[in-house]
Amino acid sequence: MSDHPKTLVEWKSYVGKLGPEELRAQAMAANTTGFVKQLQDEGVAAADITAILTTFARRLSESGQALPTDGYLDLSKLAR
Amino acid sequence: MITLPKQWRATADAWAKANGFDSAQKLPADKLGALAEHVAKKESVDLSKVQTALFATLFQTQPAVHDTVERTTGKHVVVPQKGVFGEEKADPKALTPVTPLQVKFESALEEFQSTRVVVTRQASPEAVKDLFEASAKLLARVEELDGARDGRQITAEITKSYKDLLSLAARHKGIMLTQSTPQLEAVAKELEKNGPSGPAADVDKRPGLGTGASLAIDPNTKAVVAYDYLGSVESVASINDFVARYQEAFAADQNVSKLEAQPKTLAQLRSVNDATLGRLTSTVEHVSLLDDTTGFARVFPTRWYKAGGELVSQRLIVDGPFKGIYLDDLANHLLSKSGEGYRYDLTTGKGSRERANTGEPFVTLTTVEERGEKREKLLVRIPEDRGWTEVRRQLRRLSELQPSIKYRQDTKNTTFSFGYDDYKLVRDVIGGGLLSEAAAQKLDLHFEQLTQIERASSDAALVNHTAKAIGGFKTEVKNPAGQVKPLELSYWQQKSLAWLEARGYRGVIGLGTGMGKTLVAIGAMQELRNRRDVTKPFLLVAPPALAGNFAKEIYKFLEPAEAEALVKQTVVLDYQTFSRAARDGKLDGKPFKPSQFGAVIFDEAQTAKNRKSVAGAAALAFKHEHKIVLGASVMKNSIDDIFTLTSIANNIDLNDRVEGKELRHEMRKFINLHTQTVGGRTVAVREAIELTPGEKLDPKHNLYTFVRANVLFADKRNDTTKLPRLTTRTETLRMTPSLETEYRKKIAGVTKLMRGMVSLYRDQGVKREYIDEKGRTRREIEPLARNQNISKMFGPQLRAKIAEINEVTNNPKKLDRAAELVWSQLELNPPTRTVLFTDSADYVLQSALRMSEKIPGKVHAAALGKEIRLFKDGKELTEFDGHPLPFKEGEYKSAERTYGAKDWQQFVLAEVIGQNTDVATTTLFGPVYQEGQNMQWAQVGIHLDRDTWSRQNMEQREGRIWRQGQPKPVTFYNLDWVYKEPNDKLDRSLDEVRGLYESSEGKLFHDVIVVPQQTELGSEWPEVRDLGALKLDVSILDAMLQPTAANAANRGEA
Repeated sequence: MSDHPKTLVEWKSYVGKLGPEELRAQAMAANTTGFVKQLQDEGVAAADITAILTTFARRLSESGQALPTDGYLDLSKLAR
Repeated sequence: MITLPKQWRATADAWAKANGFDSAQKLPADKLGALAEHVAKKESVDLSKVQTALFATLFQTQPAVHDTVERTTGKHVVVPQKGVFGEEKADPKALTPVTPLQVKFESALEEFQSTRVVVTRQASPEAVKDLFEASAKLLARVEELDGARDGRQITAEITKSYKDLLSLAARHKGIMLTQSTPQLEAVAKELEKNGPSGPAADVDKRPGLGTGASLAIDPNTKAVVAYDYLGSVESVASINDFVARYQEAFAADQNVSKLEAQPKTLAQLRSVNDATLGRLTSTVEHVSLLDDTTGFARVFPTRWYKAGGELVSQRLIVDGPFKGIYLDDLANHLLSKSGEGYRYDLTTGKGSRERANTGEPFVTLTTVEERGEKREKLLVRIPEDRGWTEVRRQLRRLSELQPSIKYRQDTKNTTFSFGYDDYKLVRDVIGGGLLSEAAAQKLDLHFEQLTQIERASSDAALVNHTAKAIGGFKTEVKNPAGQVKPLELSYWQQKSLAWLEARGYRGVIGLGTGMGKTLVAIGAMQELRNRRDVTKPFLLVAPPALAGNFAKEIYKFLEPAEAEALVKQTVVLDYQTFSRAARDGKLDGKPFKPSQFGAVIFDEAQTAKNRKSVAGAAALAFKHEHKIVLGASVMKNSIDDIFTLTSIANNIDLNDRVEGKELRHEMRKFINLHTQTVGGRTVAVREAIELTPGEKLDPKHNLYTFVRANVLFADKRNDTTKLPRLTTRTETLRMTPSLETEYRKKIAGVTKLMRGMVSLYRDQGVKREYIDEKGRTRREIEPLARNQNISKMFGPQLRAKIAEINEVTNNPKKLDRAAELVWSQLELNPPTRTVLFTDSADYVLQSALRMSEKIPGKVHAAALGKEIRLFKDGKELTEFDGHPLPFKEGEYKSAERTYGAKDWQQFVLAEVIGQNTDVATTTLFGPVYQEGQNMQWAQVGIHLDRDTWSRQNMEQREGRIWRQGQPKPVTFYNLDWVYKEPNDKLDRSLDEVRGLYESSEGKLFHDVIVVPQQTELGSEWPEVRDLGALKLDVSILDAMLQPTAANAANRGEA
């Protein structure tokens, strides 16, 4: 598993392999302006950034965890 | 015996014979009036001269008393009443001296009770006292003897006492006993009924010219009454009061003699020569010195006279030793020389009565005739000596700047008249000085009236202006979100109503956008209906959109029955219809006049700010007692606006054919005095004016008082208890070399204008300031700032050019900067929502798209006039929250209500975008969305550009989110392109020029409108209420013009 995913496929694989606690912690960390800006600076397109955050949201939902609504985006909406 | 100058005797005798008398000497007193007229006409002399001569003789008709009086008094100085010549109805006859005859008891009592003691100026206080005591004793004795059996004894005793009294009178200089006549009694009763009158009373109604006074004892009440035939009836508390007054007169007599013997002084005071006097034809009016508060002043024959070059007429004495002297000059001179005045320290508010000395300026009252109306003013005379030269020059200079301070021509800068409002300015120049009691009292009254406005509109008074107190209002009302809330007028709405009431429902009210002017209008109408019983219709003039909505607003806030009544009582017109109706005098075929209405309210009155516009001219000419002028923007970039609006409210027609020119001249001078203008453009309020080198005067207080007295202003910044903070910032973007090159090509046609504007709005047009060889501060004006074409930058001629320049600067780089600002706010608080404004429709779409690329995951709206489109992650959405996109005009439903097609934008902004925190930015097309829509769900605003010059437009935009219901602090950004390195200090980009203009406009507005709101009216006169009663020594003038026998002889008339 790549620790530094770059493509959407790599991000999907990365998120899929996170344990429940790590998943939650990283989802909340990803849902911040700082993380979004970092991805932007790396040249990731806006739609892809949204897709990455959506991946985190859906994975959290599938794992049965409550989705945080605060943060950069409302993950509960993204997970739908 | 009648005495007339020799040259008139033949004419007088001829007339007497023609009327059935042997000679003029045989004429009774009631024929003297007609005689005087005949002689004046025949001899072509002034009537007053003849009258004066005849007056002097009237006390010489009874030989016995005449001898006595003449022997003891030398000269007697009582002047009979004006009515002697038959001009008035209840004119009393001349005082008829009594002959000491034997009388019976009954008639003795009656005669005694009808005896009048005439006390003249020559009487000493001791004599008066002696006489009164003797009279009192006699009366008491008479009463004791009443009922006594021995009639002869009574008669003898009374007669002896009476003779004793007569002798006493005869022994004392200046006292006479006379028998009252029925006419004299009638006058005395009338005077008693009307009460005391002083210099403020209407001199024309006074029954007489005389300066004598009569002491009498009311036989029924025993009260001592002193009658002054001038009109002052003094029910003196005691003889001591009366004596005290005469003490002053007696002491002053010494000064009178001295002054009369100073022809040089009289010559200095004289302003008009005999030749000019001889040409005057206006009516002669006998008036007293205006400054006399004792009621003992001499009266003088005067005419109204306007010297060449003067704008006002003044009273000129036309006869006697003081002919050719202005009445108020004489009063001022004499009061300052021998009277006392009042000096006070305005910083401590303490005053003290002082002896006036000859060496300082003295302020007295005067009456002038201005534009056909008599107006009371103040008059100041500055001493002529060298030490006061600078002050005289400064005051002269001030009079050139401030038109309401008028210089009296040819007085060598010594004499100026001015209104009460100019008092502080004048006082600052003369450095203090003294005021006469009358002037002090009038100023006190003036400032008392000003402070009444303060008191009446103080917070304590607001209880009278709540919805409940006014009556007719609902207790609850639905807000735009559909919530039911209690109805109450806000602080500023109540304040506005209190202020209006204090000013008689007349004035200018500037309330910021969203502060509820409509409720103020409704409140005012309700107050007029409920408290002043106004039943005539109200006229409301408003722009079309508001005019159509007014009835709805009335129904919204008032109980149904009240609303119906008020709607029926209100005529609502838009400005165009009003202007036409006012011009034609007809509306829908029916008469249309101010008198038909109970009040006139102009809403959004900025429509009428320009006096030359059709609306402005109509509003100015439509005169009504109650004119309320409401507006959010009471002053745009010129004080002319404020002047026009206050003129509308105060019924001053600046366009009037007769008075308009003079009014505008005064207005122009006032504006120039208080503001700095360059090339006709107002740029700042003057901090100081330099009257003479090195001597500066701060005129601001004068301006503040004017604005404060006429304008009530408040914006949301004043309502700090309710709204969180608003912060505005300017973010600069430095042009890249390629952008600058392209930019400079675009501005090529307007570069000079832009440079001129930088000078004008940043530097007030000043290129450099220096001190000249005479020590004066001088300013060199930047020629570019005077360029008349600068005004084109604000108008349609250059609008296309400015749009071209904006196209260069409305580029992706600016949007990137905007996105960075949005990010910075999101970092602080992720749910932050931002609105962006631009005046370019294309840029709206570019902005929303760019935001969606720069701020992923969030939705970004583009609000245009005909549609609202949404973007996310660089792509336009086709659907959002169940709604197909784009949003367009049509009916929409929310959970609570249905929005009609006209309200589709409100639905989208309030129900969709407003409720959805995913929408991070909304870019709005300025011309459509800067008014009307409320977006308190946003906390950040960005002005991507501004095509207009008006700060008001910026405030309108800001008012979309910073308004009632905004729970959080708001930040607004301007994005300005600037040169990386300007070529020189005038080289600035258009964005910077706009910023300077807005800043200057804002500062001007702040200095002219906002700061004065802090001024306390009348604050320069704090101690007036502590003034004690003062007596001024006025009677100096008395004897000078007295047509005494001796004086008559001196003039060759006897």
